[in-house]
Amino acid sequence: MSRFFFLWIALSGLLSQPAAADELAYRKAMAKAVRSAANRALPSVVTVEIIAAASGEKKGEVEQDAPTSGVVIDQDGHILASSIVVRRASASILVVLPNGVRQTAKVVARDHHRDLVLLKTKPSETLQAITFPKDLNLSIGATTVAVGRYGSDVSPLVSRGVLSASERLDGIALQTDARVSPSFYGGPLIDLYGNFLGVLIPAVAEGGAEDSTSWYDSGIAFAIPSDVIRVKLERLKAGTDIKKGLIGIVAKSKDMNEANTQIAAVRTRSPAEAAGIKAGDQVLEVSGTKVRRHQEIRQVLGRYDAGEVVALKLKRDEQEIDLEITLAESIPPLNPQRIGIVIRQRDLDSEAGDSEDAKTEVVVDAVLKGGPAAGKLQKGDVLTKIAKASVADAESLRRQMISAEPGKSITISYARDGKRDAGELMPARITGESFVATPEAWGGDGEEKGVSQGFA
Amino acid sequence: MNVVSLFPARWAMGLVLLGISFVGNVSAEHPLGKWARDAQKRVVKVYGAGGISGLEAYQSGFLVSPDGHIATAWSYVLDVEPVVLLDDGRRFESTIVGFEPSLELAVLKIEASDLPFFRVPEDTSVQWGDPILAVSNLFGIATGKEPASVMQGSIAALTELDARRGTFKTPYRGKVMVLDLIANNPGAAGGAVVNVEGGLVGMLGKELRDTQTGVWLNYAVPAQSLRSTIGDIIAGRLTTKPVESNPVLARDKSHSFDTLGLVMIPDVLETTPAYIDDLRPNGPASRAGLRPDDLVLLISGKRVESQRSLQKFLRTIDRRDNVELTVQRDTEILPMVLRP
Repeated sequence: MSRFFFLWIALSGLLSQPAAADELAYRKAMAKAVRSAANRALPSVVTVEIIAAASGEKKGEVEQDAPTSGVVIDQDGHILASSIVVRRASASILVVLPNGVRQTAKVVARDHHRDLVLLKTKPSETLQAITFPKDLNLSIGATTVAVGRYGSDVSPLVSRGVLSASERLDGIALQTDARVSPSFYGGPLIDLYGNFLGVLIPAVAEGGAEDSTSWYDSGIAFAIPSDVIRVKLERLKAGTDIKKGLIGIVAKSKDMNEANTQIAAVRTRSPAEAAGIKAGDQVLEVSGTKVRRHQEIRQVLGRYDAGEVVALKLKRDEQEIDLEITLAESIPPLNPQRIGIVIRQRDLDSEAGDSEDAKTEVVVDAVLKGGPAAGKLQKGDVLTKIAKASVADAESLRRQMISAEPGKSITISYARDGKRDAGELMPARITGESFVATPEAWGGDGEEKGVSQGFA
Repeated sequence: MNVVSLFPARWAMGLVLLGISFVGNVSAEHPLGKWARDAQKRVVKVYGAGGISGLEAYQSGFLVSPDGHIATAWSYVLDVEPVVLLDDGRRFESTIVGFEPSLELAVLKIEASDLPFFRVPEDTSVQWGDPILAVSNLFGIATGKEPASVMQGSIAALTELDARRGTFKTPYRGKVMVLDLIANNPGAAGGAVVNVEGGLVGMLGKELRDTQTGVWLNYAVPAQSLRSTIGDIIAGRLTTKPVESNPVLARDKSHSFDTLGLVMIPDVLETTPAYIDDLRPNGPASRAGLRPDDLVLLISGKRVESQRSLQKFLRTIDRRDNVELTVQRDTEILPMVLRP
């Protein structure tokens, strides 16, 4: 009996041992773990200083020559920093090594897509390149530590958080909730083993704030993953700037999250046009990933750079088409055209519906005298197609006109008195001369009063 | 069959003991809770001047003696003799018994006794990464007998403030703890920063922008920097440390480009870089080895932002003294000493 008694006493003693003492031990252990992990990266972390930045309107709160951090990536003196160091022209860029020695550095190349800059400084024995991990084992919720250097004594600077998400900002960045302020930009984000996860950059969501540094110390910070950096380094070291890749398609649906991947229009002189994508096509897959919404297309395409080739699978008239598209750095700007008609969108009764399940149709209410449609279209015509793209609502027509190519005639298909017909007309620019006449549909007499210069 | 007889007596007693120990476990006080609560008892709410143009009329402070001496941030809130509310809700009118602007420190006194207080340590030996709790009345959220707020974070960096030109718009010089915690909020200044053992390690600083980066800085002044001054003030030995500053000297007493024999490029931009255009033969600059097209990077170790800022800095140096410059020539960085 006494044996069991002592056993129970011991057991209860053990159990009532404060899990509380564990709490303190945990915090001390965490501090030690953070220091130990940071110390693995710190020999490769430098401070980047700007000398005599050109003045200009101050963007956000951050000083134009704020010192930030950088990561040494090889023994040749290459250092990755954030785009903040080239925000303004400056007389000089310096790097301060962990031992306090200052060296000059020059810009080798910029990755505009990821807000990174590759610098080069004189190789030195004291420079220690960071180790790129073989595999990036990302785990959402895992502890991550932002590492930087701060102050004239280049003290170690750390902030601990967790990995909040990956593939943010259209597929390019990791997200963490560590408190990241400008001193950290350009520095590494590591895990508790000291593995190099990525480089911290100033960034905000599209339209989320006035300036890319506006979200400092706010619980949301971004880093470019190291596995992507490793792939891009070759181009950067060769001095080639990297830009985001553009494709040139205009979504049919106005809501990016609607389950509709139809293309309303293809921008002229864009990679999409060059590859043969047509208005009306439906996107099924991008790079082997099935997509159902335009937001998903954007999310997959977002990580590609100009010059890279992307595979697309489309559906056109019940056929599947595979295309390879080389993304471009820029697409010539839109030159919206007009055809000189006043239209009205009319609801259809269900029986009169067309084969496209259209619920509306576009009817011509007036044709402006002297305009491109004069003599070709008449009041009462129901527009059905512009080139091959069907137009059942005003929005679709508008999108076609916005992306129309200047100087190229358009085939308009329409229905008049029950009969289908088509006509060619040459659209006009929306800028420049405008009509000064009030259409009859608006209560005017339709007579041209004169021609004025100015925006139509 | 009797159910009870299935269990031998000792098993039953064991189960009861187990149950008691679990219950005991749940109600045992969390030591983290204990040291946070202890810290709260020593932090006070300070109310004084302010309340207009976004300047809050409150801040925090902490007891440093059982007789009611309170350390707090030296700020506009103390422009009137402040009212202090203790953790237990008792209200006192306080007097300012001493202050030290160079430490951003003020000491108040209330008429009370037997109060819980922080011992201000001689050496805190904290490291970057260490966990801390910050206890303050941020946003003035607590009033009456509501305790101050407890926040958790860690020390992001331990660094020296730039002693020469004032990295921060504060006269404080010396070591500072940059905090990984959004500590600097209205009303938090003067709050207590404590370590895992519940010991005081620092005082939360005022809302300041780091003049290097331009952003809000979360920092605390280490307790050991405040220790001797708090002791002096309490003991009645008010010693005012001379505020270290770099006054601008009279033009005929200070250095200029002229006294150094330097001709800089025309200062036509808003921030013209400090490039040397020409040198006066046999002047201090020429003798030191400077050449045209050199870019002045640092003066006395401090970064030169523009030609104008270099000129301003020269006005604080006596023309009989040497001037230490660091210049960039192509890709080389060269330190130089110019002797008049």
